[in-house]
Amino acid sequence: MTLAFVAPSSPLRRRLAPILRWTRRYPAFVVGSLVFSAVVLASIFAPLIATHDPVAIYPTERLRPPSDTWLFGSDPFGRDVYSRVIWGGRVSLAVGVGVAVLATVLGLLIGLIAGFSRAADAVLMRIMDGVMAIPGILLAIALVAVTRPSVGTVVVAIAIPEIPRVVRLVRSVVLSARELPYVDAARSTGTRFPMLLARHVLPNTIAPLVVQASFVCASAILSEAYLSFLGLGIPPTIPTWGSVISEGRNVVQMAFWVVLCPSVFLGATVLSINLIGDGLRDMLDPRLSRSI
Amino acid sequence: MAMAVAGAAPPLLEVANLCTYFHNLDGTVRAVDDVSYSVRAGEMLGVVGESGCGKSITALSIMGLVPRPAGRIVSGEIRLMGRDLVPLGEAEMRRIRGNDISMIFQEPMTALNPVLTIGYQIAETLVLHREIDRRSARLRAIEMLELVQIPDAARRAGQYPHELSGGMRQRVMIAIALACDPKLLIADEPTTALDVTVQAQILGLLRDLRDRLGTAIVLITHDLGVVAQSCDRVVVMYAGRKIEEAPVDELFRRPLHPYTRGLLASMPRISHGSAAHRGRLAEIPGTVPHLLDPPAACRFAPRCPRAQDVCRSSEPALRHDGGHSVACFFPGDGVQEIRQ
Amino acid sequence: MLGYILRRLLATIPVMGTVAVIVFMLLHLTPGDPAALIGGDLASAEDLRLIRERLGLERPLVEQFGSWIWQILHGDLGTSLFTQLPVSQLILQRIEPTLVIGLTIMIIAVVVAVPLGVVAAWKAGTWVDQTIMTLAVVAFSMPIFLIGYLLIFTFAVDLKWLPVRGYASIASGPVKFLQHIVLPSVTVSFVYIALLTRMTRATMLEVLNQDYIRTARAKGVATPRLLALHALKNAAVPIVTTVGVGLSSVLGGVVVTETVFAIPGIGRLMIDAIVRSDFPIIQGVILILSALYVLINLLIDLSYSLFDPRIRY
Repeated sequence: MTLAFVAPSSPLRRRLAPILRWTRRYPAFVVGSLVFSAVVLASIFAPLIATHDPVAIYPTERLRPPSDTWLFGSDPFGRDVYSRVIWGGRVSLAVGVGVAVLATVLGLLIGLIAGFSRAADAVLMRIMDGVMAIPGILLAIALVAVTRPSVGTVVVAIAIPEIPRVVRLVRSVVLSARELPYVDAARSTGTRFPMLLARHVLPNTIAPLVVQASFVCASAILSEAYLSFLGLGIPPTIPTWGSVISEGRNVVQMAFWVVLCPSVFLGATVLSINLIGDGLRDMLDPRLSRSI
Repeated sequence: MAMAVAGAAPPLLEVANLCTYFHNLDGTVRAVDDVSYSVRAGEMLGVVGESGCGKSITALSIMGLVPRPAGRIVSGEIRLMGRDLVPLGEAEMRRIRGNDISMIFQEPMTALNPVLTIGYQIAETLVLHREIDRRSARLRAIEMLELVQIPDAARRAGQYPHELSGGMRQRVMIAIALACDPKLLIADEPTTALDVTVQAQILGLLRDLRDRLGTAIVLITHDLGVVAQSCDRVVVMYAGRKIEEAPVDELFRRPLHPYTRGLLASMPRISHGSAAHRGRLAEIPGTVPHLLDPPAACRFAPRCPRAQDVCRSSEPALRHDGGHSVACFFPGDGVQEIRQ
Repeated sequence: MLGYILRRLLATIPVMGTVAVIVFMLLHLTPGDPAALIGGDLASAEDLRLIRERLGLERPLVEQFGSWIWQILHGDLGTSLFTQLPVSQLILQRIEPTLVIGLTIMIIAVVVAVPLGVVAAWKAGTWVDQTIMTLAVVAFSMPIFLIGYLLIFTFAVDLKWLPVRGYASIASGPVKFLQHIVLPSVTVSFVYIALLTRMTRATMLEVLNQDYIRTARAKGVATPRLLALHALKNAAVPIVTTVGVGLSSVLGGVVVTETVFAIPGIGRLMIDAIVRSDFPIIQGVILILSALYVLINLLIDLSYSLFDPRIRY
C-alpha cells in the first residue's frame, strides 16, 4: 500500500520496509516526535518564521481576527499573536526541558540515597510525602512569589513539586535491584559500591527516567502556562505561551483567538510530548505502564 | 475413533478429529492436530505427554476456552452425550461450563480469587447454574467442602484463599468443580504444584469421587506414576497428535510406541538389585519439535532410535489392535514394519 | 483495628510537619529581607520596622516556628496583613466552592473513568481500546483554560444553557447550584478522568491475566459479572490509591479554574494574597489544602481492607 509507488525489489523498498513496520507499531511515538520536532524547529528558526517583531506594537491593529497578515490575529496591544507564540516557544520549551532535567537529576540523586541508606530513606521519604501533599501549582506559585520572578526561579519553582515522583521511581528501582539474586551474588564476591551502582543499578534507572522526564517536561510546560495565565509567572516582558494567553483573558469574549490559537498550539505541543513519553514507555518496557 | 469394547456403556465425551490451530505473524501453530479420544461415565482417562504436546489445549478446546483471537478450533467435533459442542455459541457454552463439564487447573495457589470467600466461590457456581437461593447455595457449599474432606467446613467457608494451604486450595477447586454434579471433570495437572504426600491425597480423592459419584475424569499429566496409580485408560500425546492409547495395565506391560517406551524407560526405579543395576537414567535425546507448520512426516522421527526413511517422509496413521492403538510404522519391538 | 488507625494517624504527623516547615520557610526563603517582601518596593524604613515588629521577625527562626505552630494547633492561622481579618475566617468564607467543585470532580471522574478503563482493558488492542487511550492522552494534554473557555463558549454563550461565570451555593436552590458547578467541574475532570482511565486500564489488564479469572470463566461466569466483581474488586486498591494521589492535581486545577470562571473560592483568595504579599493567607491556604489531601489519603488507606481481605490490621 504505502510502498506501492516504489518498485518491488528496489533497495529503497528494502530499507523502507522495516521503518514502516516500526511506524505501524508505534504510531503515537512517530506522530508525537514529528509534531514536537516541528515545534522545536519553529522555535529555533523563529527569526525566519515569525511574521512580525513579537514585541512590536501596532496600536491601529488591535484585536484583529486571524488573517493573512495576522496569522493568529492580534492581541489587545496590537501585537501579532502568531509571532509572539513562535518566539514564546523558545522560553516555554526551555522551561519545560529545564524543569525536566533539573527534576530528573535531583530526583535521581535523592532516590539513590533513599534507596541505599535506610536511615536517609525514612527521613527523605517523609519529606517527599510532605512535598507531594501540597498541590504543585500552589507550591510553585508560592515559591515564585518569594523570589524575584525570572525564568530561572520559575524553572526551580515548577521543578520542586515534580521531584517526589522521580524520587519514588528511582528508589523503587534501587530497592528491587538490590533484591536481585545476581546483585546479591556480586556483593558477596566483594564488588565495591561504585561498581555495583554503575553496573547494576544505574542502567535499570535509565529507561523509567527517560519516560518520566518526558512526562515531566509536558507537565512543566502546562504549569508554566498556568502560572503566566494567573499572572504569577515569568514577567510579562518575556513572551511565553502562558503570558500570551493571559493577555487575552480579559478580551476572550470578543476576541477569542487571542486565547484559542496559542492554547491549541500549547495543547498540541504538550500532547506531542506526552505521546513521545507513551511511545518511549511502550518501546523500552511495557511493564512500566503499571507505575507511570 | 471410539473404542468399541463389547458390552460397555456409550461414551460420555467423544473428541473426534479435533484440530486447534493458532495463527500468528510467523505462521500457523498446529497445537492440536487430528486428535480423537473418548471417555465413559465412571472412567478415569489419563492424557500423558511433555509440555507443549497439546494435552492442555485439547482440554481448553473442550471447554471452549481457547485463547482468542489467535487460537481457533479449525475442524473436528467434540460430542458431549452425542451433542456437538464446537458450533455452540458463548452463551450456550457458559451453561455447560461448571455445570456439565468442569475443569480444574494446575496452580491452586493462584486459581482462586483472593478477594472472595471460598464459600462464595463455591456457591457462585450453584447460583449460576441452578435455580437456588443464596442460603441453600451456601449450605450446599459447606456440603461440598465436607465431600472433599476439608475439616471444619462451616468455618472454612467464610475464609479467604490466602488462609488455606496449597493442598486445601486444590480441594476447594475440586469442590467448586463438582458443585453442580458435572458429568465430566477435566483435571489439568492438578497435582504438579503440590508436594508428594498432598499429591497422593488429591489423587485418592479423585479416585474416590469417580467411584462414588460416577463422574468421568480426564486427568492430564506428564507424570506416568500418577497415571499408573489412578487411571483406567491412557492416551499418550506427542507434538499435537495422539500416538498411543491403551488400558493402563496394557500400556505399562506392552508399550508399543518408541516414545512411550522411552518415557517408561526414563522413570527412575528403586532397584532392589545391586548398584550396577541402577546406573544412569535413560533419556530420550533431542527436544520437542516446534509445532509451526510441521512437515508431513512422523513427528517423533528426529528423536526416534528406530527411525527409517518411511518415517521421515510420511505420517503414520493410528492402527488399532483390540483396545490398544498406536501410530507408528515400527511399533512394539520395531522389527516388523506395519504397512498403513 | 484501632491500633492500626492510630498508627496511620501518627504517620501523618511527620508529613504535616514537613508541610508546616515548608510553608513556614516560604517567607524566609527570600534572598532579601522578608519584611521588604511583604512591604513591597515602596515601603519606608519605618514601615519595614513595623512589619518586623508585628510579625516577630527579629526573633530566632526556631522560636518563630515554635510559636507559629503553637498558634496553628490552637486554630489560629494568623491575621491577614491586608484586611486585618483572621485568616481562618477568610478561608472558611471562601472554602465552600473549592470543596464542592473538588468533590464533584472526583465523583464525575470515578463514574466516568472506571468503566472506560475497564472497557479499554477488556477490549485491549482493538480500536475501542485505542480510541479510549488516545482520547485520554489528549484530555490529559489540553490546558484547563482551553477546555474551560471552549465549554463556556459552547454551553454558556452560544447555547445559553448554563451561566458564564460565578458560583451559587446550595442555599440558593439546587438547580442554580448545579448549573453553576457543572462547567467548572467538567473542565477540571478531563485531566482527572484521563489519569484514572489509564490507571484503571493498566491494573485491569494485570488482573485479567490472572489464573483466577480463567477459573471464573471455567465456572461459566458471564462477562459483566467477571469484570465488575471478579476483576474489579482485585483492581480496586491501586485505582482507589490513584484517586487519592490525584487529588493534589485536582486541587491545583480548581485554583486555575476559579480564575477562568470567576469563582470566589480559596484559589482566588490565594492568588489575590500573592499579589499583595499577604503571607498569612498564603500559608494558611497551603496548610489547609495539604491537610485535606493528607486526610483524604488517610481515609483511602483505611478503606483498603474493604476491598482486599489480605490487608489486615
